[in-house]
Amino acid sequence: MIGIVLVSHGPLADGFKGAAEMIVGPQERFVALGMDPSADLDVLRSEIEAAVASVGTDGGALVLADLMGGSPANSSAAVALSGTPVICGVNLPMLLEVLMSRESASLHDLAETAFRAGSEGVVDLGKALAG
Amino acid sequence: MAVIHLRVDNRLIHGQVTVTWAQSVGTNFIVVANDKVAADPIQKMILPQAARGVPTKVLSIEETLKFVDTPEGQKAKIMVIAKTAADALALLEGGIKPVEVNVGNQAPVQGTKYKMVMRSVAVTAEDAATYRSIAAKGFKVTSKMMPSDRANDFIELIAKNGF
Repeated sequence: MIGIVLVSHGPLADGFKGAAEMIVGPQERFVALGMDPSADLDVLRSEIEAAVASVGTDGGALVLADLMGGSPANSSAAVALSGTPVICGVNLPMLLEVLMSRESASLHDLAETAFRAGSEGVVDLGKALAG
Repeated sequence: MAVIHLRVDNRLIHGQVTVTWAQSVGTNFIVVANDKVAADPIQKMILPQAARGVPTKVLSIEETLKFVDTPEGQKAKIMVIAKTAADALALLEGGIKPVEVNVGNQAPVQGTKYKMVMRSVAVTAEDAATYRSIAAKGFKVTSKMMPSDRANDFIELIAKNGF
């Protein structure tokens, strides 16, 4: 099972984890890292590397970051450049799709799934209801 | 025009800088100035990506000073980002003359005797002396989180914290 590491500003990562587990139940190999305003980015980078190593022992790990250009995403650059896919702009539709596909998908396919599910998950409800 | 703003921020380029500050100070060029960062190929790659379209260079302190003096540097409205107070002082001693000096983020360094003077600004006794040297050169130092915040006096703030 591919491991998931969520990295975000403040409590967003924990928030996403809590919300996802309400829907798909408790998850293994799933780490949420929230960055404090007073964070040291070298420390954060090491924490991300450690999380990837810890959850990625069975098929690798996928990192989902909240915002391209934010410090959590910037701190994921090292793992991104050494073979761990990092998708920025995580939302709940993306996270759920990833959690439901990660048993059987390859790491490459899971990253593609994340990328696609994130945008497909943005829906105008009024239009959807109007048919 | 050259350097219009000097920011002290150990996180260098990130959302807060590019989404609010860059636009507010009217910069059209960002220079991250730090010797170690400039020698790191990963940082040299990722920081311009994080700058959301603002042309960005990642240079050593010396390269920064040289760049500011070139015709390209002189024509641009540069926001220089210093990682530490010490780097900021070195840049100012090297001759850059920013209109504003603002302390954005300074993470505490494990093992040092620091005080959080703001939620995201740690100061040690050494830092305090450095900031005083900066002020002694005639620069007003603020620590506004958002550009729209009222300007404070950072030297007053560190004095209040016993430095």
